[in-house]
Amino acid sequence: MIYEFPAPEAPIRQGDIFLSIPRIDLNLSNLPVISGDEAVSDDWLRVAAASDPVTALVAMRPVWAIVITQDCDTVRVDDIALCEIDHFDVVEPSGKGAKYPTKTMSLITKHALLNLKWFYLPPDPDVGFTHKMAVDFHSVLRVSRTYLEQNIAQLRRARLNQIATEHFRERLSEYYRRYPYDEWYPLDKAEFEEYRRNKPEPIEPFPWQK
Amino acid sequence: MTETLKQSIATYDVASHVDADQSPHRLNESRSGYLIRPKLPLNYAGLWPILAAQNASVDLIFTATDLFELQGMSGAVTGGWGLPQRVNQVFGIVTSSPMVQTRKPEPARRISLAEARRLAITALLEAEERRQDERKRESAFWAALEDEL
Repeated sequence: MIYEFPAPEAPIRQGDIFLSIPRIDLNLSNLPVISGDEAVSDDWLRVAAASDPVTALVAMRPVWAIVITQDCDTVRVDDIALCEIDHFDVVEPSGKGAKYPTKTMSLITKHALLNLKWFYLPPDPDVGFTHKMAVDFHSVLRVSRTYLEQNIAQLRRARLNQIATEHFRERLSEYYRRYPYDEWYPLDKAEFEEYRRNKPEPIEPFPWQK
Repeated sequence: MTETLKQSIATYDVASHVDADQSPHRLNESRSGYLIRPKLPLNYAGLWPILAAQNASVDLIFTATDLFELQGMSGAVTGGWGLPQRVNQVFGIVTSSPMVQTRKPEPARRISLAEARRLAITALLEAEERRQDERKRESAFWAALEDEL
């Protein structure tokens, strides 16, 4: 498919796919902090004001991830940035239960143009992808470059080939190049009311829409 | 619960105290007698030139136990955990005032290691749940858009 399998001595590059990258989630308002011989549950702001560094207990989950740090930086930065990879129907729930090529083709091509928040990765048993997968650009992780290099034979499972890399870097740059704007500004009053009705968040009209 | 501190005056860390107008967040949980320890490293010797309006050139050793407040030239009041009474008296720091009385350190909730682990796992699971809810909302939005097109 769209993957290559670089030798362990090959330097880390953008588009390299790793497994067992640690993902950490915190509840900052209810943080289990280790203080001396005891543990307390506390709010981050108070803990940070009282201690530096903070020792806390966190849960870590190993996930698949793909390198987004650009090639020039991957050889010298302390930490490599990666985006999490998950099953396609988890990242894009409308793909759940999609059995027919028509549906999956539409999602992978048409939706990929509309929704710039994920990047499709086809299954490949040699990589370890037994399902359709997707990169979630929302989920960015950070890992020590040195650790990745020292354990690259165990952790790096594949690399995007040239064609896929070109698409990946374009999608990645598009994701970060997006600008927020109030897309409802040119709607007339009736169109605006319809727009607002379909949005979960409160939306204020421009003066000419009132 | 005390800490013995020895710090250089050159490394005075202003973040080791808390501005009076930064009220700590309250937690809706049961309380214990636990008090937050002062931030480390903490350099109380750095207070000397502020309070005594002169340069100090020696390191001092203090035990950090008490709550203090300090009113600067601007009139701003700063409070924090730190100076023991014997040092407060030397510096003229007020340790008993309405402000100190109303701004005692908030006790955190003491928990067992098992509870700490449960909190950590819960945080991870809840984050995953929130993320998936957001993905479903996004997906529904784009699906509706495609239907319209």
